[in-house]
Amino acid sequence: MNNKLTMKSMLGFLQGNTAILAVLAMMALGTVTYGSTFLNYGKNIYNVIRMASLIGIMGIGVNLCFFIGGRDLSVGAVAALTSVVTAYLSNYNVIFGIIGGLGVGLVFGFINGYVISRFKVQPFIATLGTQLAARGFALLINNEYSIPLLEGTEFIKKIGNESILNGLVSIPTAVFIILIALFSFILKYTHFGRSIYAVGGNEEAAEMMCVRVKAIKLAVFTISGLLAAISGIILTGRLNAGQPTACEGWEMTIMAAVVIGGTSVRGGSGKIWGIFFGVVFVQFISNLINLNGRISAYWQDILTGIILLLALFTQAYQTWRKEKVAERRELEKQLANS
Amino acid sequence: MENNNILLKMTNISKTFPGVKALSNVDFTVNRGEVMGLLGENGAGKSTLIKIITGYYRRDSGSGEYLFDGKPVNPTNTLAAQKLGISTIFQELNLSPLMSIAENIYLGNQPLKNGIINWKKMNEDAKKAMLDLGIDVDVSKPINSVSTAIQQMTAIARAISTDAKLIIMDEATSSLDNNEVNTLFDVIRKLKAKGISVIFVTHKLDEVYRICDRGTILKDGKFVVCKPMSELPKLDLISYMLGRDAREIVNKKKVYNKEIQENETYYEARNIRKTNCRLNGINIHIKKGEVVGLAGLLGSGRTELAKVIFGDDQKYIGYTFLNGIAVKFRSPHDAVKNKLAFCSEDRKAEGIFPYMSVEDNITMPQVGKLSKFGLISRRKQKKITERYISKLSIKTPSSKTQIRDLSGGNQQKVIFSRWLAMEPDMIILDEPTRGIDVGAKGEIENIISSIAKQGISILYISSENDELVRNCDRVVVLYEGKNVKELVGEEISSESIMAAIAAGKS
Repeated sequence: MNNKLTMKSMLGFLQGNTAILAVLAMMALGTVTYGSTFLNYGKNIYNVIRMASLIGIMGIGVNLCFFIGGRDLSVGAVAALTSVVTAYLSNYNVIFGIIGGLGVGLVFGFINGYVISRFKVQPFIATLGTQLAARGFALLINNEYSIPLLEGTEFIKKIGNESILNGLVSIPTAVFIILIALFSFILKYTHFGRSIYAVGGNEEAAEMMCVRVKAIKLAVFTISGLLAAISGIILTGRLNAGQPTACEGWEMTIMAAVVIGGTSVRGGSGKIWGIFFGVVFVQFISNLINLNGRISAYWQDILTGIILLLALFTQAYQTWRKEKVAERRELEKQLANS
Repeated sequence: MENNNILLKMTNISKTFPGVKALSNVDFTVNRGEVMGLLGENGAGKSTLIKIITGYYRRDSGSGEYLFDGKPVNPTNTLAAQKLGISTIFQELNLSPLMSIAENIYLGNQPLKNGIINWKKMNEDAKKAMLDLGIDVDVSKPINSVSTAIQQMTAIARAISTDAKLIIMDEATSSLDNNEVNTLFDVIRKLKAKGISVIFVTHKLDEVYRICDRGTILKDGKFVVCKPMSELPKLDLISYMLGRDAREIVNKKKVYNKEIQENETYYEARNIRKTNCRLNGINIHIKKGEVVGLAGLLGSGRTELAKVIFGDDQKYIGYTFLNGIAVKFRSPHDAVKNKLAFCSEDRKAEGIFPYMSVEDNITMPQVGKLSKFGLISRRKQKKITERYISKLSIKTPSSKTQIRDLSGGNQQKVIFSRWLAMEPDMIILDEPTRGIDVGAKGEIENIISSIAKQGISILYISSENDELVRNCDRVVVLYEGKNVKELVGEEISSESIMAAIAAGKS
């Protein structure tokens, strides 16, 4: 009896968490197909998770935008611009590099937030604009060439390449996990965090309940820009250079990861840790394709797309079923009354 | 003399929107611990007044005075109003749908412990607040999973938790059943006992008499009267709301043709109910070539019924028949295929394509029929358009003019033309003369009577009683989702319609 119950609740949990299921499925598939090559932590899984963390850090920002019912298409380009600016300035002084990089994220995030909250522009369009602008600047700064990190920038290189806990967790992954924990806390235990859900759930209602909707939107998009900048700085260290063409198309992968991670496209609900499994899943797909070596890399997009549609379908189905149940309940009540 | 008993005092309030004077010189007072009913038909200015009280709108500068708790105030947003002690519970409940009951009560005021939200205390407080209102409920449930009544109570609990002195309830009972309404009224009495005032906005007159101490009536943005409910008989109340004295003479009456009642029944609906209680078992039939009027106050179910008939709303119980054969339309498209037509009351939103030409607007639903090999025959399009321009005397520079450049009356004629071009057997007209000047009104009414003569059945929905008197062969009076009275031919008059509405359920 007790056993059955736990089994049932576990199944229920997994049903609500498509991403964990998907990650488990990928791992099983990887193990069956490539055995120890896949399972080798230090040589394979470690790298997959490090790459996922790089994407995931900006994914947190995008996920917050999803919570308020918005989108952020600019993160990839902002990260690329950050990496160029960081590399450029770090060659003078690492501190300048980091401050400059974060400044880029702050400015672009703020512009997004300001335009969206103040002028009521669709986030999709506004962030598309900043995406183009950021990418343009990144390419302009050094005539499309990347900027290599010179002597004296060891700190940034370390952020990108070293690990903690005896090589168990890479620094990007550690940063990612700390940020997830931080934002989980903020979302659950602060006025600001709860207000984010309120804005996403029903903006007008939030306004009536004295939530400062505009300020929340501004803050969320600024945070998203900042997180993209953190990703960009780590990326600079990882590549040993500022790369203006980095992260192209990542915004789409990230949005897919957010939805696969279980965040509602309607906003107003969701857990931030879903993004972890979302990005890890997406990275596992590309890992399995790379390990094979003969399958076209385009299969990554195809599979991500299919899983994304599946996740969307599950969401739509759940909403539909809830509505049906509510409708039937109302109908029964009406019949009982009459 | 200043009376300490007055909580809210508004004098000479005006509000102008571009092109419209929504309120002109309105007076409104609410005493402490009083339930004040705010009454009026659509467009009377109730919601504008409420939005000024709650700071959502600003009154016209220099107009009037707004005193709350004895002090002149001027809230600039809902937050400021709430700080003064004014809380609003809107018709569309403004709650955050995915959050718990407890969070909805305390959002923005969550109890803190060491600077972070204390969930345990919040849930306990919420439980207590709901119990105070006589509701025992699991407060950690998301608000969209509980009944509307509990959502309502949550909103009230929220208002109380912010130390409200005045709670405004805008159509608070519109989605509650009888028991839930009783609970709500008990709560309102408790609020009164605490000295909290309530402004109760509703279109359900019975409820006004049950709960309100006084009533203020607005009409077309103007103050009409404010009286204790005990000195305001229902018939008076209705004539104040509709702005027409029951004794007023109706200029012209439709000549009654008895033979129409001998015609075959074209459409019939039996025992139509909706789950939200907006329709409570309506029976209606329409004969061939007959003009049937639907009378009733706002919210009596007129528009809802029209939507059911036209297949725009499938969530109902009941039977519908076309020419004696049971049918159920699955979509408006389905209804159109069965030769029904519907002119919506909201012409701008649901009727016209503003940037398209008169010609395109008329022939839009027929482009398929007018096309050959996928290409539209402009010649046929033009022929149809010209026929209707002359038939309904539409005043337009040319058939290529964009419809938004036409006057309201001519736009309405274009929409009529569109439906007539489809050769329907029945047309539903929802407020066909809204926003149309008097001259054009007459023309539209003539068109209506001439199409009825061609054997087309017409369901005529209007809140202007004398319009129904001028146009209808039979008038069905709705009250709270039920047909309470049927007036045929000579019986139809402004007075008889009003009397039927006032009599209500009887």
